[in-house]
Amino acid sequence: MSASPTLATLPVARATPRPASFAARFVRNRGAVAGAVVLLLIALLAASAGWLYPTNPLRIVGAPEIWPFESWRYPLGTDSMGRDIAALIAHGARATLLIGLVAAAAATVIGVSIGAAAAWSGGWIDEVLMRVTELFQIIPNVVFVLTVVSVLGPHIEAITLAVGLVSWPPIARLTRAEFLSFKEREFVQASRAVGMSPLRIVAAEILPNALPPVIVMSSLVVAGAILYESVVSFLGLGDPNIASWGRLVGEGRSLIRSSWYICAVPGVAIMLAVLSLNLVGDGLNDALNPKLQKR
Amino acid sequence: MTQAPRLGRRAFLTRTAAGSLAATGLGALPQALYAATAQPGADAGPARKGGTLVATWGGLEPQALFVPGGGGSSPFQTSTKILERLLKLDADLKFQPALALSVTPAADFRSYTIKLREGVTWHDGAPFTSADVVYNVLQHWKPISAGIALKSLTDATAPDAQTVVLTFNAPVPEFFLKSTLSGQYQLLVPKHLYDGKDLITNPLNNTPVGTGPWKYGKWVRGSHVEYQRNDKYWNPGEPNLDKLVIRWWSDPASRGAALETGELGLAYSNPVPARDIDRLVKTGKVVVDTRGYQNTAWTVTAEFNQRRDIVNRREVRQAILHAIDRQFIVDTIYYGRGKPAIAPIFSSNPLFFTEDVPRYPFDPKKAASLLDAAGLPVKDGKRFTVNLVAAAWFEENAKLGQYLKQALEDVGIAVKLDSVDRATALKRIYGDYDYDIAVSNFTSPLELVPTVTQFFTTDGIVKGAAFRNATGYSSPEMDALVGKLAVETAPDARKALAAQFARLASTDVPIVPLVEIQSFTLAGKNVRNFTTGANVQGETLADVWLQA
Amino acid sequence: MPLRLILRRLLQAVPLLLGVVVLNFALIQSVPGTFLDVMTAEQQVTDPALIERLRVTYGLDQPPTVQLLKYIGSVASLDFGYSYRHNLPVLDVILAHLPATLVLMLASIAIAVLVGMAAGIVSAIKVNTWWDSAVSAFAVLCFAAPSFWLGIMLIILFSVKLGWFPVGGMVTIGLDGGLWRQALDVLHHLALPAIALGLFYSAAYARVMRASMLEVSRMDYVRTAYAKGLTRTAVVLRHILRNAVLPIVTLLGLQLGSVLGGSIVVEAVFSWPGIGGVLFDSVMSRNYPVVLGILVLSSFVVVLANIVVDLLYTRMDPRIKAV
Repeated sequence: MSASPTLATLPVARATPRPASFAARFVRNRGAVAGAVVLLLIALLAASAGWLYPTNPLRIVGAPEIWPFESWRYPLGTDSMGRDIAALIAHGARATLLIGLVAAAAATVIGVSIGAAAAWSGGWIDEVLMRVTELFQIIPNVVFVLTVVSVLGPHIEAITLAVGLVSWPPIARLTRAEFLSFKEREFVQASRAVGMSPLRIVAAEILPNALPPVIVMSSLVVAGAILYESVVSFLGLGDPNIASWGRLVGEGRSLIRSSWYICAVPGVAIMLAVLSLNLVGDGLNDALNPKLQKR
Repeated sequence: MTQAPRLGRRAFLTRTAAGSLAATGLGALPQALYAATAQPGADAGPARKGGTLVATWGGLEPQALFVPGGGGSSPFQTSTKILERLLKLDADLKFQPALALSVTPAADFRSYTIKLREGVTWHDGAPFTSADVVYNVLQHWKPISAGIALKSLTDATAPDAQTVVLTFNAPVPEFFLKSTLSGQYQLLVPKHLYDGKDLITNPLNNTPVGTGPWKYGKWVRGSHVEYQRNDKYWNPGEPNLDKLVIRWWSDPASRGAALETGELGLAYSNPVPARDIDRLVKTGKVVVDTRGYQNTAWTVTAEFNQRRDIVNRREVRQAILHAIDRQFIVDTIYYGRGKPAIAPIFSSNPLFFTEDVPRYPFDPKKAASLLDAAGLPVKDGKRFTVNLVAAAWFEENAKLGQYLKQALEDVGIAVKLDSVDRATALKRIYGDYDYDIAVSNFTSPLELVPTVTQFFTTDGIVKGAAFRNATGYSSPEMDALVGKLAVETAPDARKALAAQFARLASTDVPIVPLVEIQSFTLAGKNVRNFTTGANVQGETLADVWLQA
Repeated sequence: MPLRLILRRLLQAVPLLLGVVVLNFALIQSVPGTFLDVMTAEQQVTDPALIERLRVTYGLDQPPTVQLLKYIGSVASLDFGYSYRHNLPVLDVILAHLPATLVLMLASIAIAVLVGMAAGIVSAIKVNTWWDSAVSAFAVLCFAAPSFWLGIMLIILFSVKLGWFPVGGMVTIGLDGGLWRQALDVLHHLALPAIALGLFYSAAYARVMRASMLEVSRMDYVRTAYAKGLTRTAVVLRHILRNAVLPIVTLLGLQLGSVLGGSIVVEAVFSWPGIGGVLFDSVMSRNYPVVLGILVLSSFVVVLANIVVDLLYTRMDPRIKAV
């Protein structure tokens, strides 16, 4: 489940004039726009879940295993216990996005710190930090997440932490690579010559330039986090107190033959979320690299 | 496979299309032989010899093929094909001779004489004698697998090669002893291969040698184990089949699909979600049978930790029970496959069941008022908080945990729900006693002592041992009652004592069976004779045969 | 000289593996409950003397640091300990299940690479047409769908409804016949799980292949080939493909660890008798000798794979000097 490491782009002679602003460049990519729209819808759903479905979505409200579109009260049907799937999807959007964002944020913070520290310090610190990064990259991610979750218990905090812990290495690598390429640039050397403190240089000069690709990668980390959470829930280690999409898939697993919509609906939801994140990530990447063009 | 009269054309075509069954078009064979039988799997004509059967159960691969201390249902299935017991409890709840021809009590019931079957040999050719039985009683059963049941055993002797005498220091009811001797963990291992070595870690447990109809063939870990026919089995002509394969699937949906395609022929102990049974039976390829589980009646329990405040008060427990709708649990979580339990003795137990016990019908208002009367009113939205630990080794337990959370919250009790995996559950519930209310399971044979009674007696409190008295409940009245139950030899008096036990257990309610879970078996339509015992998972499958 | 390079990389790997062992050991130690707790609870072993004896037998009476050092020492001599749960040495447990997982991984990677490359080539050749968009859409969909969900859907469609493939497992039990017949049987069982696992990774390969081909096709030597009058097919086959394949090789090596993780889930869905199931079961039952063994061995495989990929890369692209 690694994020695609290369979004290779290349220079090309252009027939049409190049769009000037970032937003315009982003909008040119139809897939990215579609992805952004879907993402926005999901976020809206997550935000309004409490208003649309005020009661606890884990409450049993109706007869079990009602098919979607059979009853107007339960447009997406009910699950094996009689809970409203639409409510679970709405509240699940909240949990899913939260896990994704927090895990990605954690991974980004860790990754950027380590990558920046390694690139800036150089020498043996760099070597050690890179070995640590490699260490975390070697351990198969799913295994690590499972182990951490069984150590800390099936709670949303543990799952988020576990996912964050496996997602930071690619960010660290990318940050380091970006930092290294900027470190030797003229404007940085000028700042050093002037006597700016390293921290100021990093914060004011390097980071703003190095961050964009990192942000792109973070969007893919969010997607990965969502997938990891669904795997953990599928294998039965999900948090029983939270309505998450992955958990719904896990619970529907034994009913896959008679009421397969219980698995299918949240599965499609996960797919849409991950898909839109990927498309947006691609769009961001294209828009942020004006010199390089996909076509 | 021939066409039974009521099979429609479509079903017939589906079968031939699946191609998993033998040639069709056997119009020459008499219809009577294949008439639709009323009992699924019951004897339908002379047993046909030959063939391979693939069997499984509703769980996973065991850690060893034979686990001396128990190890649960998985090694129970694998070991009972190779290793045998002295007696067998059949589907009509009568004891049949297996390796023992008779078990006779003395007049004072303080000793029993066992006559062994002659002409039995172990798979390696050595003869089976009373020395083997004595070894097992003293070195295997008493110390490891049946310590509590054989508590009063003082000695086992072998006056001759076919006779064993067991002596006890207290009277032992006949049904109780016979139940023990035919029980789940009283398998016989060869003395000449086990004596002098540590039973628990003997590598032979992975390649067992026994007297049974099947010999160990090959174990492909992660997949299946193959058993060969024992040509020198003491019952000539059996086993009917040539080869037996026990295979494991980690996913219930795959098991169902395997039954449909014919890859799997026999699956005990709830192999598929109850939801799928009707669908599978409708295909015409699979039959369902709910008989054969009387001696292993499963239940799901709510257990109240007597060491914690609030739940250690009887009136609180009784109030909580009124908040639980057991019928709803049966209907929703078990898909109607079961019935609400009213006491630790189940309706499937004709010997000891009684309806004359205190009941706690679903009545949330009553629950609320009882809690108010107990001095636990609603303050700031809740009365008190409990930590509910659901052992999630069954999916239903996890669901039950969620339902209980909701049910209790509806009467104002806040619930912190932990749905934990097997290792954590064993530690928290039976090791650390770290819970207020626990959701767990046990399975009960017909004989109440000690399996069921140990949940209620003081000597059943054994820290660290799973499926014992984990609640810490201790009542001198209960201990005395069970003490009498253990040594009362007159059947009627025993039944009366059992009824008293049920009443006391249902009054103090430290551990409450909520549902009598119905177990079922699924088999291919051509499998015969797979339900002849009262605990079918442990059948030797010697008399199973496959219709052509 | 590649041999020196190999040795140097292997030596570099040692501290890495050590780190893996220590990290996982620490992780497992902090799990509540040991496998002994599970074992004694299940087997109703309560005699304190017996429990103490078992603790000594399994080395659990020693302080953790001592246990760790002993473990490292025995790993160095390829002794990964004993698994009570299987009644076998850990190495035997792993080796018994390893081939099944390797077969699945190889098949999945093969499918991922082949499907991905084909998709990438098609969309590169027909760049900017609807073919391109369609292939890209397909690729991203494969990446977004959880592989266990995909597996279940495949089972329903191809095993149950159509009956073309078996539902699970690796072999048909009791199948006699020659090696060829058995191999075919395994392939038959392998199809669906490999597809479920492989499609996920094919997305990345498709994307990389497409980008790489587009990049190469701008190169001067390609223009020269066109100028020389070669047909498009010839140019693609002889020049573009060979050079565009390089990033695929890199990706292969990087994804090995990920594929192993993915196979755990797919193995669960298809009851594939591989390491994934053993690992999951061992984590659940706190059987840490097996967990550590699997993690160390799989890490070693990943390190080896990276070295091999590096070597292949230097071979295939003469512009890159072996560092």
